[in-house]
Amino acid sequence: MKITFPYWGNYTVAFELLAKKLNLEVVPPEKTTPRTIEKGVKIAPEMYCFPLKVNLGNFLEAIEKGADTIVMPTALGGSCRLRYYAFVQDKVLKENGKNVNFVIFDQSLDIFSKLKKISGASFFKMIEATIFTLKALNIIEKLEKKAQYLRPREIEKGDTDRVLISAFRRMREIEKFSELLKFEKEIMKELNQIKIKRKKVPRVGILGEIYTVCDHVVNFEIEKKLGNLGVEVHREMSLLYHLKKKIFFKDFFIQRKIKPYLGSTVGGHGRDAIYEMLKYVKKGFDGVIQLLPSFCMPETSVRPILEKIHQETGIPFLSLSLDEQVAEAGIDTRIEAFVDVVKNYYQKKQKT
Amino acid sequence: MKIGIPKSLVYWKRPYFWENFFENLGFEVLLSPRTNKEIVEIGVKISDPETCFSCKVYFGHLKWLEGKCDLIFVPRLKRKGNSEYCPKFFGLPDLAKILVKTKILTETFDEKKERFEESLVKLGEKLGKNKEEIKEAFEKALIKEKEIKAKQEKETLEKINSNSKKIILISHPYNLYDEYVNLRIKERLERLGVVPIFIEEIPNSKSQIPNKFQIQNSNLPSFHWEFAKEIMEKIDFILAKKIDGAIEISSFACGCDAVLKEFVEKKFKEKNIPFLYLVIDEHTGEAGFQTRLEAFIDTIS
Amino acid sequence: MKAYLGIDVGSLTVKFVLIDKKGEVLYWNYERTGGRPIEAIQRELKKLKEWIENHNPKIEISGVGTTGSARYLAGVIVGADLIKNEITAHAKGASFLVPEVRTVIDIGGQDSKIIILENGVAVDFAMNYLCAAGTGSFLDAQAFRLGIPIEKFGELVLKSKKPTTIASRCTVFCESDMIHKQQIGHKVEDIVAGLCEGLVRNYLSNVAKGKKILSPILFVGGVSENVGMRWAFEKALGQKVIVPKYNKVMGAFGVALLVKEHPPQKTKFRGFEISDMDIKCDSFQCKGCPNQCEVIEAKMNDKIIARWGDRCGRWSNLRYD
Repeated sequence: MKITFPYWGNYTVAFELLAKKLNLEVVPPEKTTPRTIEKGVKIAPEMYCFPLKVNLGNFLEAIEKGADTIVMPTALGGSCRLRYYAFVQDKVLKENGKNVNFVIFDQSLDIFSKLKKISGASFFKMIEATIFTLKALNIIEKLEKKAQYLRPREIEKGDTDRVLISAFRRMREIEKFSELLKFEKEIMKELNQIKIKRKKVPRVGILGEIYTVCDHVVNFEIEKKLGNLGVEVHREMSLLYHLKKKIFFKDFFIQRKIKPYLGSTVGGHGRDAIYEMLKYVKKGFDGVIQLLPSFCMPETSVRPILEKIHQETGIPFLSLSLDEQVAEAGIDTRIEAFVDVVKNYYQKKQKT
Repeated sequence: MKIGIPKSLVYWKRPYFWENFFENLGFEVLLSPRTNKEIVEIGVKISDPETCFSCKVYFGHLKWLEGKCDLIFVPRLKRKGNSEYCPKFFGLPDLAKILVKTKILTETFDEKKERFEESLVKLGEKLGKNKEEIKEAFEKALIKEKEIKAKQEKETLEKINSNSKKIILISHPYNLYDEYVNLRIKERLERLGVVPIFIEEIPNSKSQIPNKFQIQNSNLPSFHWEFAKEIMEKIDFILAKKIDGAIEISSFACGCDAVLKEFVEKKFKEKNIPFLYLVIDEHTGEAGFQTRLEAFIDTIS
Repeated sequence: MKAYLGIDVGSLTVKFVLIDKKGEVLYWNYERTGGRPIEAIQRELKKLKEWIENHNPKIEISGVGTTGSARYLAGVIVGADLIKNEITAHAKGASFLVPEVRTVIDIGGQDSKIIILENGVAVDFAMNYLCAAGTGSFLDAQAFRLGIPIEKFGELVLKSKKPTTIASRCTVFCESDMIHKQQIGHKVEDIVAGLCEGLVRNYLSNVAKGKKILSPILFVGGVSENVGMRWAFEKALGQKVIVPKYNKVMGAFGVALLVKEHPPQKTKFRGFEISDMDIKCDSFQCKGCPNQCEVIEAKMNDKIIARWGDRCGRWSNLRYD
C-alpha cells in the first residue's frame, strides 16, 4: 500500500513526515503546478469548488507514481462542501479508471483506529508520531510568521525566501524529534542573520478560506509578493490555530464578538473572517485581504459583511476569488494597486 | 402592523404556512409578488456576484418589500431534526439587515436545540403575543398546511401510478414553484405531452419506501443537509416505480447542488433512466431552454 | 529641456505621453498594437523621435515610466525608471487634471475598473474579473456584428427614443439576445442604445458593486470616446460624467507624472536607437523544480536583456547588463 494526500503549501512536509514516522509507504504529492490544476479541472465536476479540483490533480500525479491509497480529511470545519470531497473524488477517480482506496477522517478520534488499521502502528507509536507532527507544523508556522516580518525589511531582496526554500527541503529528511529541535534552532539562526533594516512598515491582514490562505501555490504567493512590495503580512488563520480553536471551543467566544454583524455560523470559517477583520481594524492595520476559492459558500456569504466593515471603518479591503480561470497577471495588478492604496492610507494615518 | 414576507427561497420550504401563521395572530401580511424581471434585476444588482442565483432572487424580493411594510420576516433556518439547512440560510437575516432599511423580524429555528414550536413562541412574543395565542395560530396554520400537502401528495401518487410518460423534476422547492425562475418548466413539459412530477410533492414517510430500496449503497455519503437526505430517499422511492426520465434543476452557483448532482445523476444512470441537468440563472434564454427540453423528451419516447 | 515619458501598453493599444517638468503634455499618441506590442513600442518611439526633432530638438528624456498589462515587457524594452500598475497611474493622471475628483471609471480594451479617490489619492478600487463583457474589445465586436463603424456608435445612440433591453453579462448571452431583438424588428439605434445601457448596468453591478460613486466622476480609457457610453452612464447614475482631456491616454499621462514626481538621478532609458534593434521575446520552461515556471526572455540584438515569470527569482534576479 502506497499512500498519498493533497498538497497543501508548506504543511505538505509535515504530513510526509507523519506518514514516514508511521512507517507507511508514501508517495508525497508533487508541488501543485498549473498543469496539476489543469489535470484536476479536466475530470472534476464543473460546479464544484476549486480546492477539490486541485486535490484531484495532486492525486492523479501521485497515482501515476504508484500511489493506491488516498488519505483525505472530510468535516474539519463547519458545514461546508469539504465534507463531501472524498466521496466525490472517489467517484470521479473511479469513473476515470483509477481504482484507489480512500481513507477518510473527520474531527472525531476514529482517525487513530483508521491509522492503526493501515499502518499497524502501536498506540504509543501513534502518540509519538502525533507529537512529532505537531512540532513540525509548529516549526513551519513559526518560519512562515518570521518570513512575514523579514520580507519587507530585508536589505537584499529574496534573502528570506532563499533560506526558507532550502529549509523546507532539508526538513523533509528529518527523522527524529531531537533533529527537529536542532533544525529549528539552526534555521532560526539563519533567519536572524539576514540583514534587515528595522523600520515601521504598513501592515496588511490576510483572512479567508483556510486552504487558499495557507497554500502559497493557489494564492500565487501573495505573502511573498506583499512582502517584497514592502508590506508586513499577518495571518491569523493556520492549521494549528484551527485545531486550537476546535479544542478550546473558541468559536463560542468568536460568535459573541461578531454578534452585531452575524448571528450564526455560515459554515467553514465564515465567522472567523469577520472576527479577524474586526481584530485587524482594532489593531490599527492598514489593509485587509480576503482570499477565497471562487463561489466558496461561507466566504461569499460573509463578503457583504466584510465590505460593510470596510465602508464603516475606511480600512482598505481587497477580496480575491481564486480558481483555475484566474490569471496571475490580473492578480498582480490588483495586489500592486492595493499596496499603493495601503501605503496612501498608512501615510495619511502617520500624519494625523 | 404589516409584516412583509419575501415569496422566495425559505418561503417555499413551507409555503402558505407563514402567512397563515401571522394572519392567525391578527397581523396584516404582505407577500412580495411572484418573481418577475424587475425583482431579478434588482436582486442581481445588489447581491454578491458569487452568491447563488436563488439568493440573488431572494434579495430582489426583499428590496421589493422595503418601505412597503413595517417588518420583513426573514427566518434563520438552521436545523430540521438532526439535518442542516443550506448554510446560506444561516446568514440571511444578517445580510438582509445590510440590504434593506425596513426592520427585519427574525427568529432562529434550530430543531436540534429547540422544538420548532418553542422557537415560534419566541417569535410571537417578539410581536407582543402570548403563548396561547401563538399556539393556536400555529395549530391552525399547521392544519391548513397539512390539508394542502395531503392534497398535493394524493395527486402526485395518482400521477406516479398512471400510465402516461412521467418525468421527475428534482430541485429545491424554491426552484420548482417559482415559475419565473424555472421558465415555466412544468407548463412546457405538459405541452410536450409528458407528466411532470415535483420531487417535493412525493410523500416523505419512510414506510412508503420498500425496504430494499432504502439507502444502502456505501459509496453514498450520509448527507447532513435536510434536502439532500429527503431528495435521495425520494429518488429511491420513485425508482421503485416506473419513471421515464429525470430532470435536475440547479440555480447557478448553488454549492450544495454541485455535491448533490453527482449522486443524483448516478442513481438514474445506474437504472438507465435518461437524465437532464439544467442550470438556471438570470441569463437563461427561453429558446435554448426549450430546445433542450424538446431534445430530451425526444430521447425518452 | 527636461521631459518625462509615460508609456501604457494595454491588451489592444499602446499609449505614449510626453510631459514637461510642470506636467504639461507636450505630445501624446494612441495606437493599436495589432497584437504585436514590441513592434508597436518601437514604431511609436520612432514617431516620438521624429516629433522631437521637428518640434523641439532640445527635449531630453529625463525619465520613463511604463504601465498597463504589458508594463514589465515595455519597461524592460525601453529601460523604464518606474513600472507602475495602471490603477495607480490612472488615479494620478485623473487627480492631476481634476484635483477634487472622487471617482474614476476606466474602461479599456479588456479591463474595466473603478477607482475611488480622496484628496487626490486612491483609497479603493475594483476591477472586472468575471469576463470581458462591456470592455472595448466587446463593443468593437458588437459594432462589427451590427455593421456600424465604432466611431458612429455614439451618434446613433443619441438618436434612440426607446432603448431596447439587452442581456449583457456575458458576450455569448448578449450576442444571442441582440440577434433575437433584431429578428423581432427593433430599430438599430434602439439596440445600440440598449447595448450601452446594458453594459453600464453590467459595469455598475459587477465592477462598481458596493462602491460609493461620488462626483466629480471622470470617465477615461478607450471606451470613454464613445458618447453613447457616457450618455448611458449619466442616465444610470443621475450625475454628470466628465470625459477629461487626454481621456484615452490617462494611464500613460499618470505614469509620466509619477516619474516626474520622483525623477531618477540618471534615467535608465535605453534611447531611441532601440526602435531599430532586433527585439525578440521568447519563453521557456524552467526545469529547476516541479513548478516548471514559464520564463519569459527578452533579447535585444540577440543579447538577453531580461528574464521574468519565474517564482523563485532564479532567472529574474540575474543581472543582464
